[in-house]
Amino acid sequence: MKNVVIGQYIPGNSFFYHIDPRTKIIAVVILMVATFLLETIWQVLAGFGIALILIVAGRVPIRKIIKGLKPLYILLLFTLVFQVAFNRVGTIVLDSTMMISPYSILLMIVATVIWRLLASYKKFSLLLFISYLIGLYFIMKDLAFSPIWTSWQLTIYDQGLIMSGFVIIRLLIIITLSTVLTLTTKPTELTQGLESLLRPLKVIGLNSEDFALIISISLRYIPTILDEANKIMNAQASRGADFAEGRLKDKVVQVISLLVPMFIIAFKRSEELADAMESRDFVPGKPRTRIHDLKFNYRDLVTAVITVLCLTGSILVKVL
Amino acid sequence: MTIKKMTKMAIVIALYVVLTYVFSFMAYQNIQFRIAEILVLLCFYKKDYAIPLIIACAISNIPSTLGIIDVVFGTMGTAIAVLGIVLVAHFKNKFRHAWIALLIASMFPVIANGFFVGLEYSLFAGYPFVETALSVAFGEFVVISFFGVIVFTILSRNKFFMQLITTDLAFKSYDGEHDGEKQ
Repeated sequence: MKNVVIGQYIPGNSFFYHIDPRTKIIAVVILMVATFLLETIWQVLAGFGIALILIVAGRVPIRKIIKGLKPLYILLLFTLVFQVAFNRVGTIVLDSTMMISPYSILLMIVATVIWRLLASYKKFSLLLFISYLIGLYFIMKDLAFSPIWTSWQLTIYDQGLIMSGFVIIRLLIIITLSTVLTLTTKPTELTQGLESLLRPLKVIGLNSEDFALIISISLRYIPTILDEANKIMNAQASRGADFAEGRLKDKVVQVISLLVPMFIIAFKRSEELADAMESRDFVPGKPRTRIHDLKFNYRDLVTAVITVLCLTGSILVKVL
Repeated sequence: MTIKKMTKMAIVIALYVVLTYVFSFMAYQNIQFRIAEILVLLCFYKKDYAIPLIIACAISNIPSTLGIIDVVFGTMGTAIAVLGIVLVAHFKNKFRHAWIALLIASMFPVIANGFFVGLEYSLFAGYPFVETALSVAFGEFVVISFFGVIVFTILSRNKFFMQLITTDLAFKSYDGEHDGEKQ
């Protein structure tokens, strides 16, 4: 539990690692805006292509990005289903009568059982799920023999498919962008960059240095508190608590028995830390120096040029 | 800003991130029970915790599936939620029981997060807005209005803890043996 990474930083030494965090943050925001200006599926496909080229050129570990996208497939599947079910524009691609009879219900149950039995092969879970859906479709369309109890009409329009493709690719671009940012930037650098970017807010009374110190302390204390949480969980487990199983009522009691001591311990720690800082004569609000100062270099110029080119491109596509 | 205030804010951020991480299997997506959201009720007792909670939400949304989008929208939801809670806390003496005020305050995160996360998923992932908003709001309701109110009702009986979260000055030393009830 000691080596927790908040964010998903992976050490490396390619182009993206040496860009100033401020440039990276601004560039990612601008590129996202640029992505949202795109309007047709061909444009977002082109955008996706550009994003892929940038990733390959920057030698970002692609496998890690794909791994990060994995929990997304449920989301993407939902998107597809909603778009296909509710979009009623364009020409009809598929129009078939779905019938429900005792026979087809039996077959559907068999298909579900087979699907769940095969679900232990985690590698092909997506493929299995898709073939399960296709199987259900053919069972209801062709294999329902009389007596037919009820039937409904499944209609898929081409715009529904195109729209879902559009939404999915746009989402992929945005997630790839933010993953590249968090993969190649240390959390400390990210905070430092944010602090620097928020410095103008001093006018309205937000002191970005205090803010940055608070964030660094909290990043430092995340592993410590996680350790405490572990200790409490082990202590409760040795008294017979089980956080994973049990009835709902037991679970509620167990979660509360974790939260209350955790809050108290955390706040006691903050008092101790404050005392330690005070006794070392720390003065809040005093200007502070750093070991590593942020500096711009030629890479930031290259990034800025590429970002502005992308933004101009998507504005031009929208206007023309 | 005193040191005590700063370290407490930092600890609240760390607590939020840790709780999100420990229960991360149910903290993201459109059907979520984010236990860490209980912490927003801290604003009910002291409004200084509002800003660290907003920051904490932003940090713990970085590993989310929607990435930066979740950072922006989820954080907006939390920001509005803590503002509402601070507002209710301002009038908390008007209520007969503290937990009623707490329950009313807990409605703000339910509504705000439901609205913003629902909006987020309908804009970016093509989900239907009303259903997503309702499912998020339901999760928040279970966590904050049920769990949160229970946890904070228990904690508010502990005088030592209440002093710990509401004061910035060092008022006594402690060796871990003193409990609120024993004083």
